[in-house]
Amino acid sequence: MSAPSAPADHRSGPSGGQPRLDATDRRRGVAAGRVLAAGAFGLVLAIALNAQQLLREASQKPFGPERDSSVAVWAPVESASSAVGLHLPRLWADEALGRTVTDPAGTQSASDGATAGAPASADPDPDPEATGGIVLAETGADDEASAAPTTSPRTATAPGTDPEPAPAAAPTPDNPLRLAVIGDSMVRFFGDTMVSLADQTGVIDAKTEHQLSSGLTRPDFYDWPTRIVEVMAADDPDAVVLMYGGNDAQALVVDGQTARPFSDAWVGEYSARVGHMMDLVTTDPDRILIWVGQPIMRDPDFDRKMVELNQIYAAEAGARERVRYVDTRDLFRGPDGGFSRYVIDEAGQRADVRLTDGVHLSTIGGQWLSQLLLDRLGEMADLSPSAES
Amino acid sequence: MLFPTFVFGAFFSVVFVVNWLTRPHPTLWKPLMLAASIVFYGWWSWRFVFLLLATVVINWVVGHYAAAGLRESGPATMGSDQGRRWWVGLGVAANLTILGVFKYWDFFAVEMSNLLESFGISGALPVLEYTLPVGISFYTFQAMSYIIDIGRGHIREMAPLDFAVYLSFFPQLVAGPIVRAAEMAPQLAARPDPRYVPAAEAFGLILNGLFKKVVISSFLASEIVDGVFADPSAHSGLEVALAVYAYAVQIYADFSGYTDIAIGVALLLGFRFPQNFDNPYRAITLQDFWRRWHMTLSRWLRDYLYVPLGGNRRGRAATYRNLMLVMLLGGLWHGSTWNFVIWGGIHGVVLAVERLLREHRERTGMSPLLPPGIGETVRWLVTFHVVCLAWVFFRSESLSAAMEMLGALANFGSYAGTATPLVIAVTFGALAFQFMPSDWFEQLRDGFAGLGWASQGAVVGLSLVAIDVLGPTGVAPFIYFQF
Repeated sequence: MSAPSAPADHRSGPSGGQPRLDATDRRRGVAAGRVLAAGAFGLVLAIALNAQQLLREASQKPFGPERDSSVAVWAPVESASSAVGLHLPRLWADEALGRTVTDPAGTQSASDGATAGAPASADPDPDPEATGGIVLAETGADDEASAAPTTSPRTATAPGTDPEPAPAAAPTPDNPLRLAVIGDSMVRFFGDTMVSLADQTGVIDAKTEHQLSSGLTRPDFYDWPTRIVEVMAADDPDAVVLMYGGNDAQALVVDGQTARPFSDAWVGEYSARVGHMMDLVTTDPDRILIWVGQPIMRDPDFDRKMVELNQIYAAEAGARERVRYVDTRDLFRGPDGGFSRYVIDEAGQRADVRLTDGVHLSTIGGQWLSQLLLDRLGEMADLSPSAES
Repeated sequence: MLFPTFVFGAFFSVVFVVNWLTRPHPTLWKPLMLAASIVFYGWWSWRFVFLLLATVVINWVVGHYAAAGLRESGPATMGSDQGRRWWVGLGVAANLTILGVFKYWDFFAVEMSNLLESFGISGALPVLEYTLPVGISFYTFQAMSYIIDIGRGHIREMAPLDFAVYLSFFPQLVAGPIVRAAEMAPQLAARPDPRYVPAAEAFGLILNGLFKKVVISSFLASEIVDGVFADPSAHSGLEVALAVYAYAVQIYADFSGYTDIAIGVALLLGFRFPQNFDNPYRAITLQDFWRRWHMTLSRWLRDYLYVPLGGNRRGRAATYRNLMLVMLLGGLWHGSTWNFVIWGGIHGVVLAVERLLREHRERTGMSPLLPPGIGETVRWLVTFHVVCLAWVFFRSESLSAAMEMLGALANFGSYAGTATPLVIAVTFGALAFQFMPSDWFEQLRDGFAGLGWASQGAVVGLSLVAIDVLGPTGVAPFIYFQF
């Protein structure tokens, strides 16, 4: 190894010497006040041209004081910007790139996060079908799919006691079972692995899709019901794996009122949305759905919320014949029964199954979950590689 | 707090004004700058601010006693030189302990437990499962350089507040460049003239860095790298190869983008940081690569590890051993996985082979096998592909995933459609850009400097919007934050 001696990326600079502002800097420099004026003007211009996007991002924050103050700041800026047409260049640029505010973008890739929804409002603004005080999110789905369940999730059949879904017809390599693995960022960390493992069976043709930071509480950020209808229509999968929840422990709007997470109104609305998603998938009577519960989480408060969500998922799944709820908490319990990144595998070795954030799954964790889900799928449909048509 | 966010823009606007108003008054400026850095760092996790401050205190105290050499207790009975070494050793050990607890203990405990288990010995070592504090590898390395340089007599002890400002200075706090006290202390003592802020260079660096991070890095990650590395078997060999090239571009754009922004932000505050990158993919040897990639880390490893180990002064075998050791530890610096060790090992082995060949050629007077132009092209190709091979291990989540990725290079079917013309153009365009004449940035900077303030503001504003339009919504953390 030797000293770096070549000129650096952008400056024939101080290699070897003291990196200090020097005579060259003095010659090229300008007064701090002028820098401030140029920088401030640049920021103001950028804000004016980008006000719609800033307001959209503000409105998509979780309901609460931070969102309210952000919206209060950006709403008048956006109004002023739009009034004089300063929002148009950004709009034209977005359109030139194939992005529009009504495009449920981000479906193409993991981090292409252009979002859907009206920029001036974070309210899901549902076209409600009031059912016993429950307001359903607008989905754009057909009438049959939009039909609202009225079953209280707290009184629904317990998981495991529901009738076993009828096995689907045995798939073959020429006529594989079409599988869709869909959800939020959790799916990012096991979806591709599951597709890969499914491919290895030779009788499953799997696809995966995820949207970071999404869920069922904020259709203004990402409208999953609409997207799920599109996927069902386009791909007509035989089996679907859904996983949501990590971003859902936040307030949502019911009847124009913000409902606190896990209040009665919140639970009623969220349960209805979960049930609605299940119904949208299982409108085809030959399609089966696996709903994946949230694994045990490191943060105790967050984990408690996920437990409550899991109860909702289990209850809604239990009320439907072709939906199977899969609990994942036991799979990822540490040696002491609580959360751990390192879980003992069958060989007695410690496996690193979680990412450092204490939420998402590592590659190994993704493999474990994928295998569990394929096993459950195998209980619902004949996945024997030797199956012939 | 992430650089490419509105929150940082607002934060920095305030800091910029306060900086230039208070800079003539160090007693006011220093605590305010320290407070700004604490706010910046605490934005992620206020708890780790205490770790940062503890690191400041520990290292300043150690540096103080190392500088003094003798004190009344402890090493007071030792001779001056011995006492100084004792304190330096203590300081290095303290920093390595902090790093070890947060970064390496779990890796060691799990590997050791699994090894024992495979011999039928149960009784697992406890794992700590601490969250890795952002930037810990960077600021502990800076702290170690401070006390080692004091021990060597290369620098003087800094005043407590100066040292706190240096170690926590927010532009370079979380992902470098690794700035040494010898570079920072004179700048802290100086009073830069507020009439001469190198704004054109600073704005150029910041906009360039934002473009590299928000547009290039994010685009390649989402369009090809993440998908192919997640499931290489579902892609053709050509796609896998393209994904590896794209990752080489992605990590360069991500890390050098951060560095550009950090250097630009520091310039606006009146500080000049050392450079960290110099078109690394132009390198025609791996030694050349390490003169161009993460330059502040490579010189740290050289000055505080390679040279103290003996460098190339203790015979050929020791030289090769030292090279391997430095690169293996350089790999471990990035993280506690076997993949990083292998990444460092690949670099170490090839550096040793390069040295062996060079020495052989010099000893025998052998002339190059290929004519100069062709020879350089071949050496560039070999160097670039060695670097890419090592990146496969660096990027993959496990050894088996890396092997699957390499195996998938021989995949002749299953084209998944990720090698779009745009992905190919961005990947190879970015690589070709490394060979651009080095004065392009100076020309742009001088053109920008010639504009009036309103025109400069318009360029900045329009550039920010263009970057926002071209990039995805939301900003992924910089890759090097995890180190």
